[in-house]
Amino acid sequence: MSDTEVSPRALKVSRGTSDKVFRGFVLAGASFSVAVLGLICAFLLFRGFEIFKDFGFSFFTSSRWEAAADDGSSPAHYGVAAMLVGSIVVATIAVVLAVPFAMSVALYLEYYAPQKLKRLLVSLLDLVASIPSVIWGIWGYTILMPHAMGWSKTLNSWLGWIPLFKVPVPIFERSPFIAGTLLAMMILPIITAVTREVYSQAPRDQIDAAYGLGSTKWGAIKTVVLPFGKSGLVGGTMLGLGRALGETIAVYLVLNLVFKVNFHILASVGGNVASMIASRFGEAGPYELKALMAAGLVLFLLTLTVNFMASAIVNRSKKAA
Amino acid sequence: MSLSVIGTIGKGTHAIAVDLTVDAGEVVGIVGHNGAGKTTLVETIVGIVPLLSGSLSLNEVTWDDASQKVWVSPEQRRCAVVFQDLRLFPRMSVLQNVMFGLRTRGISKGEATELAQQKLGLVGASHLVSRKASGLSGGEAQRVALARAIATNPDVLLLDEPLSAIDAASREDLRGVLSAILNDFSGIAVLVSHDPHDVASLATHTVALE
Repeated sequence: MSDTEVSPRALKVSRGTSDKVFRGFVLAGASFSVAVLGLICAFLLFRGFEIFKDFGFSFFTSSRWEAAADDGSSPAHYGVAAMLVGSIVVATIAVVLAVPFAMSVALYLEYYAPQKLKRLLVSLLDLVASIPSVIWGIWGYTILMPHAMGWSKTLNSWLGWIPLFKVPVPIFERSPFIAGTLLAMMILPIITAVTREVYSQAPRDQIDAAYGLGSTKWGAIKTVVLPFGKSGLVGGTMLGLGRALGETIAVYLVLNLVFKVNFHILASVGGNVASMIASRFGEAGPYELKALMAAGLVLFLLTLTVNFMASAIVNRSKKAA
Repeated sequence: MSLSVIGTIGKGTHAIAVDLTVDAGEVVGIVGHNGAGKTTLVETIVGIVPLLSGSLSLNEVTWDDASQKVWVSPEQRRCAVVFQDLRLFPRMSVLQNVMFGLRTRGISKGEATELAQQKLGLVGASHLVSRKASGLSGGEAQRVALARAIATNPDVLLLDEPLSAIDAASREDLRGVLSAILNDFSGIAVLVSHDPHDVASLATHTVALE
């Protein structure tokens, strides 16, 4: 036997007609999705190109969003920094709040809940996932916000010495924290659904092996289920993050949009690219419309990046497993 | 110490009658054709599968009794299993695998490490300590699975085909190791095997499942 390196022999496969037709059909479907994605990107770039040309890098670093004065005394200035940072802050709050809950719910449903209760809760979660954003927004504004303001005040009084929880002006309404809390509830079903699906596929024989060595149920979950479900949790979280970044109307109703970069999450100052586009779109002139398209492209690329990162992380953890 | 399983075991609709009593220091060999319920018996004793009817007890303490609705969870049974397909935790190192049962019983990390190394030495697997379980050969994995089971010094040691899936030379070697371990073991041992030679050389008596 020699140790020379070998490579697999190339095989020429002759496929049947039905196989060829099916292959063509699925290829067309996949190509169409990629084409639509490319066309959206191209459209936004085409419409917003002038803005990138006029403002260059300052479009990403500036927080000013001002249309030109009618009398021509001041030129237009557009920058998405505040909205971009605001989107990331709100989405991060949502993910931080939602993930522990989603994990707990997924584990409870899969490993603790009686079958009847499990079926009921899964249906309820599916129902929650189908609630329209505007309903979430109204509920957030009328029901959640009065309560969340109380939580904000408590957080501020206990943790106000941390810059994140500091409030320059004691107004707690429509803050990134409230928007993030609402978004956390909105993304909870999707993260739970994906995580639960992966947790349910954890190898039963490994769980039994843990029991066979005297493990408790929690010990078996910690040893087998959680490491196995890591990629699913990351995938679900990224899907939730994608939704949180792009959420428009619910955030618009519970967040005070201010063109100022703000990291004080309890203060009534926030930003969100999607909500900003929705709020300005109706009254925007032709030039501002181009700026909104450019902002849309930035949001699109940000969401795309998050999804690519999710795929990369999921693949990496699959390889590590 | 005495283990008693009297009743029916099984999964789904397939029920198998069992009448088994084993005393401490004994090694009972369980034989039977495929599907006779040998592995199900192991899973029933350890608490993975509940009894269909009858009673399972250790020292007059009932672990499982369908009619009295008694069921003691696996962590309270002080059993340890070598599964037929070994079921090492693939993401863990060999040492972590052996430490698992010890840690789960509340033994400190330092003591667990020491005990695990000692047991790995006993089965001739000291050199594998830092290896990842997923990268072991069949024979190596078999030794680690054995070390993992005996590390906790269980009341009931369940060995489900502990010498299967290894080549003849390793099998002979491991049979010697297992024989020495079982000679020193003061608890109850249940050995499931297809191989009459294994049962003859390791078990003190035999029970056939029909």
